[in-house]
Amino acid sequence: MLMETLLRVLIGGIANGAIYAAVAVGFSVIYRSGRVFNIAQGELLMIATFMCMALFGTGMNHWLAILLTAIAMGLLGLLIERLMLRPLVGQSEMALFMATLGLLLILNGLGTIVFGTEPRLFPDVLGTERWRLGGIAIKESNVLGTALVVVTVVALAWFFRSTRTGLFMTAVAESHQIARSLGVSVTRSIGLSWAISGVVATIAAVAFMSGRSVSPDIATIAFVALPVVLLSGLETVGGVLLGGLIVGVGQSMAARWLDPYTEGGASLIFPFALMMVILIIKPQGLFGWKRVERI
Amino acid sequence: MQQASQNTNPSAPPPPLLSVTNVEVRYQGSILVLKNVSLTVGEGEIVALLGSNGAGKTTTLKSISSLIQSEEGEVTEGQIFFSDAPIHNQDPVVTVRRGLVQVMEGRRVLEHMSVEQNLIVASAPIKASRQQLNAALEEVYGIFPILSSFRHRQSGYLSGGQQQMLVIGRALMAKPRLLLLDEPSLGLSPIIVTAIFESIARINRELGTSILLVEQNAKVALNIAHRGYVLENGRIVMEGTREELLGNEDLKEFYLGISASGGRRSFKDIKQYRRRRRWLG
Ligand SMILES: Nc1ncnc2c1ncn2[C@@H]1O[C@H](COP(=O)(O)OP(=O)(O)O)[C@@H](O)[C@H]1O
Ligand SMILES: [Mg+2]
Repeated sequence: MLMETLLRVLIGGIANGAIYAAVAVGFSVIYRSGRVFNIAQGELLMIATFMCMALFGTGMNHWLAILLTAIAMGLLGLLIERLMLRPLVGQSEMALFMATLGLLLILNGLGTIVFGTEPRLFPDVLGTERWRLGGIAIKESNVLGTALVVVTVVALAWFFRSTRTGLFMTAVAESHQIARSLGVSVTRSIGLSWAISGVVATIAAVAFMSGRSVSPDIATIAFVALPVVLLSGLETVGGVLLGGLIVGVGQSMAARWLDPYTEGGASLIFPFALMMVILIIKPQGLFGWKRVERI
Repeated sequence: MQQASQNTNPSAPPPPLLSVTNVEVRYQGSILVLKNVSLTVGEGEIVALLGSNGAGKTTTLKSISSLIQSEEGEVTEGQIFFSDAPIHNQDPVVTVRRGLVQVMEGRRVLEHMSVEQNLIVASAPIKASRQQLNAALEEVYGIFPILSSFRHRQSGYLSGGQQQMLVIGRALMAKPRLLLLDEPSLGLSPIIVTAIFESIARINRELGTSILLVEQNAKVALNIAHRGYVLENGRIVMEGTREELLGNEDLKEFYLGISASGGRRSFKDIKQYRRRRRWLG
């Protein structure tokens, strides 16, 4: 009985952790290149979700619709960078952050106007099977969605470590000045990171929304991804998987065992409390870059 | 010999690879740091730019490479030409692509990346195939074999000398025609400095790379340089060939000051030394 509950809690936690990781990785890709804390990451997820649904509505093949959305989101990322962030080059990190806050409000408003506030059903693109594991049902879409996120994050981590373009972007993450002195175009890297982030938002939408009822509020999921990214460390790519897992499972445990006594408060507070504790012990997060002191 | 060449080639000698002419540099549009600085680096030369702390050496290099832009610095008068094209106040990435690479002061490795990743990043300006990239890596490893044995080590954890070798080797990945080196001896032990300066001379000799070498350590720089300039308070106050500078009384006295530092010295000596140090230190 306890075993079964535990398993159920774990499975739910992992599925949630995957979406947090997917949003968090979009966050860290942008932060690394431009030191911009893109608070509007959740809005990108929301736009991707509704763009997909709008295309599904035309009756086209689901995978074609997803591909088109990914391309459009990549272009939207480039456009945002070009129109909102590049003019602010050289401004303080606070100014850049405020720009993304503006972006959040614009996209949020736009989402509500275009898509309305009524929840709608996102089609079951990842399948409707229910598999059984130790007496509990697991949704096929959750398993495939989690796998999709893991593959995406691992692929991104590989890209930043092993391809030339990825290494240029990692160099930009280390130091704009060094990158520039080596002939690496910083603006190109930042633009590319926004494009990647747009595409990742599309993958996250497909991975998590499949078979769920969605409304523009889904953007608020990014607020839980925020502790995940700080917990994992702002510069890490692969590390968000562990951060997402910890927050997702921890939150799911808090929801099962603490929420009954706290009127649902524990699971809301948990990610932030955990983040605070980690940041006190390890300010750069689990896998973030600690600046090596040089003599 | 000279006459013969004059007879066969009546035109002027070829223009230098780098020419800085009457350059004035300001930060934030007002802080005047370089005044009327002129210098040249010829094809295949090692030229030393000497001067004490705050003289404007780094500013000179950064105005050539255009890296002053990220510090709101600007060339406000004069011109800088590199292989016959003006390069001042342009995008620093374009300058690197043209074949002019600056190695910044302070061993600026990409500290979370491995030695080899540092090198690969620096191949950005050349559109290298996989084979060309490997050949470029092997060339750097040939000059600095220690980098080869540490190729997978995180560069932030290398010793100071190894980091200095890495940043110089890294600059070679772009196949530069001119290298700007900013105080490669800073904070390193004499043995390491000797090894590094031997490598710099070798790069110049074997790869034919021209070098503008900024140093506070005049002795070690003039050991390998063909010519030199002395910068003080943002102005060039002395220039000459290696022999001329080594024969210069002020420089000589400075060296004597250093070699005599083991013995007793009067306060007057120290004052004298400090004054010399202002431009030679
Ligand atoms: N970014 C900057 N803004 C304003 N002044 C600067 C800046 N960088 C250097 N300076 C000033 O320019 C002068 C020369 O500095 P620098 O070129 O670094 O000298 P050096 O390399 O010879 O030690 C110094 O007085 C320094 O304070
Ligand atoms: Mg300096």
